[in-house]
Amino acid sequence: MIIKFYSLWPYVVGIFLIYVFFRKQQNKLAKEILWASFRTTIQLILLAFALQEIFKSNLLAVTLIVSLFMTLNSSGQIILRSKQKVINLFWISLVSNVLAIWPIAFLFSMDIAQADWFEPQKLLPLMGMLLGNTLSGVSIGLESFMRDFREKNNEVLTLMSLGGTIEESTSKFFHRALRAGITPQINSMISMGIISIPGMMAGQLISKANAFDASILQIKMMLSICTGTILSIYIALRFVRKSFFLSTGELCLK
Amino acid sequence: MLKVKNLKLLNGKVINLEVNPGEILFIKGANGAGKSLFLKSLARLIPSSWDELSFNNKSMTHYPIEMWRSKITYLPPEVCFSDESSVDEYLAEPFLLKRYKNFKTKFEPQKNLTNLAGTMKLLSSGQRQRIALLRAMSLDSDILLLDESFGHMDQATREEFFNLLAKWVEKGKILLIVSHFEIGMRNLKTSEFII
Repeated sequence: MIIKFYSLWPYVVGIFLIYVFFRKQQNKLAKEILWASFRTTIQLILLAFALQEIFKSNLLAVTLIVSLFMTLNSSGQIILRSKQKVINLFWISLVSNVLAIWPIAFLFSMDIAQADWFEPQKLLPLMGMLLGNTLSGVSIGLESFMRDFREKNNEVLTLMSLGGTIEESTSKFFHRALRAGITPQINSMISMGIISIPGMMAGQLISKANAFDASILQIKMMLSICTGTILSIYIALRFVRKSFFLSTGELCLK
Repeated sequence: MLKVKNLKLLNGKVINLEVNPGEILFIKGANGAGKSLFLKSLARLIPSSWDELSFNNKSMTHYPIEMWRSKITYLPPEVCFSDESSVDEYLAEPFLLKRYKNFKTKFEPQKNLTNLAGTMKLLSSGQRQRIALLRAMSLDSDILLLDESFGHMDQATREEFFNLLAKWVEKGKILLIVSHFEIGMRNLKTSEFII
């Protein structure tokens, strides 16, 4: 198989021109753009090599190991993006990802690949798209919740001292965090097809797939991402909230 | 009677005290001594440990935590409210939490103090404290823990509240106060506790 790396050169030149143009005004930003472009190129090429090897196997175990690796990375990203320190945040994001995203990816794969649903070639791209797209929503939602708790915990104490349960006393922060996390997804769904054509659908259209087939698959993907994001945020928020309280009910910010 | 034996606060201090119904206890101490920690621990809002924590000879462990907190109401120094809530909504909040419906009559006697229009956000700090204190007093709790609750009030309002609180305590309630103001309570047994 011939790998057409040379076809990338116009794109590389484009980014390099951007770097040259912005270097004088915003040197740091220009360097960051160049670094990000370099990283994305290398990472995707490496991914292609890795996937080629992984796709040779049709074992569910291989698919699950790679899925776990992706999920661990996604949880790691949530920790890196988080400015607030919460004990067990890594495990909380890992569990919420596994509980929310994995079943959706499995069902989605069963829908489009039927009996071959567990094959890496079917399941892994779906898992990757779901994890990647839900990541920022979970991250934003958790950040909002933890920031509210750190900065405004007197609001929670006030409601607790009025006899409110943990759920009642934290419901304002909880719902604000859910909303903050899911809003970018809602905006993206509203602009879908009017302002934007997402990458997956564009890829299919370019490779001359039927427009209806491409759009149905994209609808499934958008609805899955939305469900996965809200579920993942909800599960993670419940765990984080639990970690803020003792089992006896006292507020305990560590 | 409120009985506290070896209540260990998060800052390591250990508290022992007893307060009878109809009494007022002033909590004194330097900044950072742990006055607020003590009040929050007593209301079981934050972690602490103790040998005995009881009210009317019933140990705290007899009460579900929410019930203990509805017996002992803590009022924090900053008045916390939802951004857009009106005065009426703020007053109604604890009653809606407990699903009480006929709570409006509770504020009738103090209509001159609660009769403020607009949202909580637009009130002055003193007005907010006034509303928060009235709301806390209107609950059916037995013990009220006031944490710097008069700081922004003017002299006349403060005096008015001291009278209201005195009447409230006369019903057999217990009042614990952290305040930098000297408070004169008519004909009531008051004592001081230094942290």
